Amino acid sequence: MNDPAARLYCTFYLRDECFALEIGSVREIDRRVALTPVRGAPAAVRGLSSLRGRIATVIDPAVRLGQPPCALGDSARLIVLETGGELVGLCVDRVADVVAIPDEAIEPLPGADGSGAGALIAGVAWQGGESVRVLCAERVLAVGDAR
Amino acid sequence: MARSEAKPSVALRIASRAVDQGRVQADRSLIADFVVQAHEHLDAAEPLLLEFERSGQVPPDATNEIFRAVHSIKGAAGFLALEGIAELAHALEGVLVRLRDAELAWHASLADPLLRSVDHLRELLAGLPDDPGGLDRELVAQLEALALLRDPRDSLFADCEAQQRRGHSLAVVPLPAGERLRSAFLARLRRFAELVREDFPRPHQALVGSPLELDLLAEALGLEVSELAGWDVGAEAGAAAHEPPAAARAPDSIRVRVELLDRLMDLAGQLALQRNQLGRLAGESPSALLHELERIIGDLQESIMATRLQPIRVLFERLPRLIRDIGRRLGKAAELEISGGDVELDRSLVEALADPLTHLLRNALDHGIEAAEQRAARGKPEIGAISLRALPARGRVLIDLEDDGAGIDLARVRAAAVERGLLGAEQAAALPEREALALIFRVGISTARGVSELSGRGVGLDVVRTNIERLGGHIELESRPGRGTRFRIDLPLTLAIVPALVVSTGGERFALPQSGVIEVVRLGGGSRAAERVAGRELVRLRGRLLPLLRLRELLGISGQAAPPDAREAALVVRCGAGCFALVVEDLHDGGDIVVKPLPSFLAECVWYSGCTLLGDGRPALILDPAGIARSASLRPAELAPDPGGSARSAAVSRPLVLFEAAAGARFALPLDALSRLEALRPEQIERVGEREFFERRGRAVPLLHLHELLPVGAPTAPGEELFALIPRAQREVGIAAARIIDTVVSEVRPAPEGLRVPGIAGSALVEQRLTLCLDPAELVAAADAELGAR
Repeated sequence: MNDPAARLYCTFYLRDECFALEIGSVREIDRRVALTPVRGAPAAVRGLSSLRGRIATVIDPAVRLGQPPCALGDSARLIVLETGGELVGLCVDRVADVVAIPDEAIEPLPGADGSGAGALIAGVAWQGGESVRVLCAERVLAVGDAR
Repeated sequence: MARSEAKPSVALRIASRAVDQGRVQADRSLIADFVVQAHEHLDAAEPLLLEFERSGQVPPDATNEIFRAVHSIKGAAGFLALEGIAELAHALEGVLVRLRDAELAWHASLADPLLRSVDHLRELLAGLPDDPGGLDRELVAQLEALALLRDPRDSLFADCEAQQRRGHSLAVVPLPAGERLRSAFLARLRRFAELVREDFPRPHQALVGSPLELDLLAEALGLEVSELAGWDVGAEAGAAAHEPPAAARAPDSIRVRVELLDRLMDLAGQLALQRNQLGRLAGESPSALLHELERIIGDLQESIMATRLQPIRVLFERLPRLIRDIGRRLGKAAELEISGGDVELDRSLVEALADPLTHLLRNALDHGIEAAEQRAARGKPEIGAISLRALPARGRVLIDLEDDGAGIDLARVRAAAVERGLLGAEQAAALPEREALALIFRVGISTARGVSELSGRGVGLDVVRTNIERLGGHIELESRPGRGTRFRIDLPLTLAIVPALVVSTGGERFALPQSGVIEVVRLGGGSRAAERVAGRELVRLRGRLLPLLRLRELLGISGQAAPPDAREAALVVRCGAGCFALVVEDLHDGGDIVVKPLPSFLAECVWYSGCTLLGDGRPALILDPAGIARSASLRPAELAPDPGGSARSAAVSRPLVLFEAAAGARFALPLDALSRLEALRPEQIERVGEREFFERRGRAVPLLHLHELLPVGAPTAPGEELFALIPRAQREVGIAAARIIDTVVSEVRPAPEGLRVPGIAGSALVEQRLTLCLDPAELVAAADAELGAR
């Protein structure tokens, strides 16, 4: 934890796979709030949500990764990011922890060619005997690429 | 005010003058060090002063410590030629030295000026190294006065306090230098003020107490208020002390990030929503408390809205230049008289108004104001007069644009409408004057003889009207032949909050601005049943057939459908110059909504124009009728004419922008498919590989050349001018045009199946020439395919 080269990550689960997002980009974590679906939106956009008077676009990282959409169960949370002056909530099945991961502990995904779901994952790190996929927030939010 | 005698010591001034020459190069790091040290000194001095005030005791070692701190600041400031700081430190030192030497007894009223001095020193330090800051001379004068006191029984002190008790303002007044002037001035002074002490604290100054406010006193004495140094030695003021004095001198206006205002706006909106919920809880008997809450929230919202307002002057100020430039090109001269620049509008409206207003001005000069010789012949001054006025009117703003030109020739408008197939000759003749005038908005009829380079180029008055209506306003005109024309634009003060209807389909709610809704009707039963004709549903409403769209089908909402026999609600919505019916199933309480931009992630959702929070705090999308019509491929020709429009015509044609892409090849683009028209400068265009781009709002927009996409000839030589027609499309692209010819209204015949070329929707016969009418969406797709093929 005291490694100065380590950055802090928020870890969370999409079903039973653990993912991490650098905490610098995270604004807050909210309990899942009521969603207004948006017809005609890209598949990864689950809808709009109000966060204390501001409107956040809720994006499903699971859909971005080519997995079935997040079930939005009781333990689901919104990891709220701010990008270009807009709020975005990433819906995840469960938020786990905040951990420090040294840069050198993040291994590039084997066989990743920068396309498909692999493009969203910056690398894999091992935390407590579990593999953690480190997500690149910017690419997760590029929902327009999904077409 | 004379600045002189009571300055830093001579030695110090010589030192500072020596440094002065080298000041420009004055070592910034030296100043930075000084700032750090000075802050440390002040941080040490402040708690001691506060302790003096609290205990009323001034232990000599403590006064000495403060004295030393201030003294070192003075020394270093003098050395660095920071005159303001040195002067203030010097004056402060003067008081401290007397306190230290027990020549002045502590009094509560000393605390305030001493603490203010510390704060002011900090303020001056904060501006360094670049801005030496403005010295508060009033404070210096006050310190100098305090240094003359001995104890609270000092007669000056007592006099000042007496003045204060009477509610008088104390002021240091400059006196004229000459003996005679001076006695005359003193005589006048005595009429308005009581002389506390003459020659105080500097020569040629008097300390006075006056029942007049400072600005009135200054006026009475024939002085600027800035020449008076107001002064307050009231014991109470001293005891009240601890508001930071900086706040007392804070400027009247501050800069606030727009983002912050938007956030405040959001919160106020949220608060209003909570209030509504509370109101619902309270049911039928809302208490007085709730009414009070309502009032406060209303005030809050209004105040925040007010922060977004901007004087319309920022827009008006650009216009005289425009008039001059257009006038030059047209060889006409006009004076633009502007008034009401102080009227304030929401900043987004001020921006959005720029294009329509520019267009109207061009129009006035081009079509309104006659050529000089013609004006002379009509007995008018050779220079035309155009006046532009903004008038506030109960939550709205009226903008009048009036010219003293030729006026609009109604006969020609009627004739043009007939010519373009809008009206039958009899219909046209029977049209009342007002409605005939309004025709010029509907059809882009140009009554000028030729299409000039300026006004005919762009998009017509119909677009001006559409733009104004999109802003929630409307435009009307009056014209007197030979005398002039007046356009009146009536706008709301703000765009951020608009009245809207809330509708729902399959349980999903949407907002629709009321300005876009013509009426709400119930369908089903009798003559209002929808009928299906050629795959399109139509409904007959008061003798007119309206295309009918169902929100549920369009948006692919499954959910529970309304029982088939229910009488559905349909909105008749405005779309460009026409209208259609939109079946929405349910209508809810409307009300004002706070319009928020559509998140960028939804930029491609054509059905929405924005989003908002509804009464229960949940987000909802704001429907965009034009986008809905487009997504349903409802062609403008299929729309029923807007009953608000004055012309009723069976033959529905659509307005087209006519342009020349390559030599001789004419094209048309439906006007309502056009988002913007821009003149391009050569330096705006960049080539990347096979493609050309132009810069627009910081983004590279592809420029499409029709001869590369369609079977038409390439231009023989590059034209001198180039325009980009930017259609409303999923992606922003520009269609290159060599010349914009006109806007016309014409029927577009779809190209026969089998002969259809992607990118061309059909053809129109315009001025006896066959003109291809483009389909922007297909064109963009064709461009993408073309690029992929290479």
